[in-house]
Amino acid sequence: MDNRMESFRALDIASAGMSAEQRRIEIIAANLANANTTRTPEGGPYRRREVVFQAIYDEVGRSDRIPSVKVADVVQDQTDFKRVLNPGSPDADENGYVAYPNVDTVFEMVDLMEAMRSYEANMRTSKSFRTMADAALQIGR
Amino acid sequence: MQTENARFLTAALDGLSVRHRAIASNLANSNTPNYRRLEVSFEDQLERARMGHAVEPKVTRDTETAVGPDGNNVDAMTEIGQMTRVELTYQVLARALQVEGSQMRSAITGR
Repeated sequence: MDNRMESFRALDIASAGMSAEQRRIEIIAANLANANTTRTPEGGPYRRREVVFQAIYDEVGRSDRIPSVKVADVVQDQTDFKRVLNPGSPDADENGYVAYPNVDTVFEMVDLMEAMRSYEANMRTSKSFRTMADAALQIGR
Repeated sequence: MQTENARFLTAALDGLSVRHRAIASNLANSNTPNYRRLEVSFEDQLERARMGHAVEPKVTRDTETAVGPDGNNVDAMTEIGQMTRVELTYQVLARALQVEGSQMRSAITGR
């Protein structure tokens, strides 16, 4: 990282932001796809997952005051599963209830919209970086 | 050799590029828990730059703007507005520096 030009730092931050948001979108897609999954390798219904973002500082150079970003962790949502009465299901317990994933599709859709908007904000950064670099290149003309 | 004006403009362009970097970071971290937005100030040092003093843009953490439930105080729309401002100012100043240079050139060559 230390030989990377300081001037391109904004671009690096924007790319890091886009990959982090992309990871978030992947996780949302997994949540939506598994909204009704009652069987998982670890047993029981699917547990909703969530990304945790973290600001990261370079160790070297002046730029260490301005952080980039990364996905630090993907955590499982520990809220209760939804219990639905469905005695016909092979996954029903002795009282006829089936435990479904703690995924709320409306919530996931809103989160997806937010993630897409954040992705676009980072794209806006790289666009403006280009405009500024173009302007700087004109100076010598 | 740089004229006073050129020194002033160069320092301002440097300051704006650091501010742009800070806004980039704010936008990238708009969903990071407990992240506080960064601000950059350098305008108060520009007059000194004219005299040939080095300009050191100051990066500070904004602890005044109220934080949301996740402890983050970045408002993406405000940041994008700021970014547009930086972008436009940068373009104007770069153009001014370009003109400054071509005046110098024509003074030397007489053309």
